[in-house]
Amino acid sequence: MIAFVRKNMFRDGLRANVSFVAVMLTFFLYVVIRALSGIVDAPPAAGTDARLMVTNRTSLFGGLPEAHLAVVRQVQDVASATPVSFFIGRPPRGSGQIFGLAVDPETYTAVYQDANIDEDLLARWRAEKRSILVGAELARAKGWRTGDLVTLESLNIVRRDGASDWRFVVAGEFEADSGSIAEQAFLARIDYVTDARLGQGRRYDMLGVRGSGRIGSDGLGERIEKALQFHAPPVRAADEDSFVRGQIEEFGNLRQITFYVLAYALAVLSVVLINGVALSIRSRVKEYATLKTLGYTSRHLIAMVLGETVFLLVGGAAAGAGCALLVLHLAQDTINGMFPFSVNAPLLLIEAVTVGAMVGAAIGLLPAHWASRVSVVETLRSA
Amino acid sequence: MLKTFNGADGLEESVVRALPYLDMRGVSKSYRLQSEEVVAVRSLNLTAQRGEFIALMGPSGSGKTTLLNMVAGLERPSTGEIRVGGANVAAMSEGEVTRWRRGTVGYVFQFYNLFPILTAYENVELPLLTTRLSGPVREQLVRTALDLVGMSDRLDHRPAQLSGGQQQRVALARAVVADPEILACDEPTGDLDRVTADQVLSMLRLLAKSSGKLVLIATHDPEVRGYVDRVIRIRKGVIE
Repeated sequence: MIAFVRKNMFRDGLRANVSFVAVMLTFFLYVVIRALSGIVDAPPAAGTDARLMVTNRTSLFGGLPEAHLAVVRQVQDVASATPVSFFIGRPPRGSGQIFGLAVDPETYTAVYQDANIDEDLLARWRAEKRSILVGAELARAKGWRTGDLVTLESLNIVRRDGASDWRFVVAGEFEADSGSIAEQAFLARIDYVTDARLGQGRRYDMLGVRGSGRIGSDGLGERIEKALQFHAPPVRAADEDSFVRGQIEEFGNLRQITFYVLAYALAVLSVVLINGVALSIRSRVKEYATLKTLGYTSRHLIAMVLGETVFLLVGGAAAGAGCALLVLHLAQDTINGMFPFSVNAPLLLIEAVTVGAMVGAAIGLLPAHWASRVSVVETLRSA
Repeated sequence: MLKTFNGADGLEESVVRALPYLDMRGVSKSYRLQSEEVVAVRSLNLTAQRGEFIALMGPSGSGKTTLLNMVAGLERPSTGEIRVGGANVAAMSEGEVTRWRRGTVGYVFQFYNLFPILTAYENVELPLLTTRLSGPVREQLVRTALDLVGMSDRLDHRPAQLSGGQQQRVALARAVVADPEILACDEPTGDLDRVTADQVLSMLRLLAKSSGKLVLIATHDPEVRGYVDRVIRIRKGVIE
């Protein structure tokens, strides 16, 4: 019976192949979007609720003046606070993004203890304004060694001289705690970046804050926001975990866009395939009448039609998902430069095939019903 | 293939054996064509035994195909009773009559109705795919059926690679592969030349006589008289 269903499925080679490609493309899109939306769901690698991020309430890249830092340091139960600016770069004429943080060596280690920067490393970092510390994972990926001169083209910071090229000297590597996003980033000196950047003066993208531990992060965040309520611009103080999730979710309301794009793609696919299957069924009415004459029940015919659509969708979904997972694997380095990102390939493949089977069954339901209702006598008389 | 008794209706086997195998009483069939009522078969009585080869003859529209279809359980009578081997076919639900037909009736069409994407072997195997028979048993039955109609050397040919006569022989093999008790043939020689038609009629007679099947054919072919046991003439839905 399965062989018969398979032969029926591919009896019209062109239609079957076009349908297969349509399913494949749809599930390619499905898996790519699902994988990227996983960024929203994935717990941020560096997230901790023991640390607060203070940012411009209006826009993440709106920046905060240096005066805010002084106010935050005065808030009760703030143990330490440090300025942070983002540096997104790439090698000149190269591909793949590299993520960096411009920070203050003197206060950074007090807030970000999980970076594990020891005194010796700190001393080498202090010694040269252009020096950077490189996360071990990034150093391995890029083959950077201590003493290397590294040039990066910044995608978000322009120099005073109008250029985007920034030169750094690798002062050493650091082994951050496992799972920390810092492992995939480099740390530059904020005085170098701030002094050389165009226009901003002493402004920072955010402030990192560690509390004394006597009060929870929610309570400390409220105190900081209250302390800065009459300062411009207004700020948001959230723990790191909430901050990262919030920023990613604001990144175009990814979850909602994902849902609509997938629903739209599957709806278009369904309409196209229902049309194709319906045409195919109508051209085979005489055959269904013959099968009924041979003793095939309505259930048999329904199973045969559903079998065709489910096989088509499952096969196309598996092929599309496979291609998408391959592309995601190849692009993983680039994506990781922007977000902590990982793909659970087996799970995505199973999900795509399951959705494919369900859509296949839904698509085949109406044509299967038609096939089961074929009147033997009327069909054979008119044939 | 060994068949078990399935006479139905709770009758004793010995009683059923004594009754006519096919017993049609007061059978009428009418259709509604737009607002007009068309009577295809009118108050028809007919009995037949296994092993008989019967021709239903009459002009187009006389009701012979309708009669054949009712015996095969493809159409229900408007009134009357049809008993086959003791089972009241007219009283069965659609699912019941389909399952009954699967084990009891082989049907041969005028234009063969073979599946173009399947080989001769696969076409003949089709009625067995809905049974619980194992692959090797199915293969044995298919090869036997194709051997019976002289097509065992064309197993892998598709219908388009066969002549009309060869296709009808494959269709015949498909009709008998499940060893039905009734063979219903609608104009089985209508699309064949004389020589091939005679071969097919000979095979049908052989099947009736050697395996005790009741063979009914609806036909215009006057040459059929030389092969059948009885000719039943139908005109305007009434047996003459």
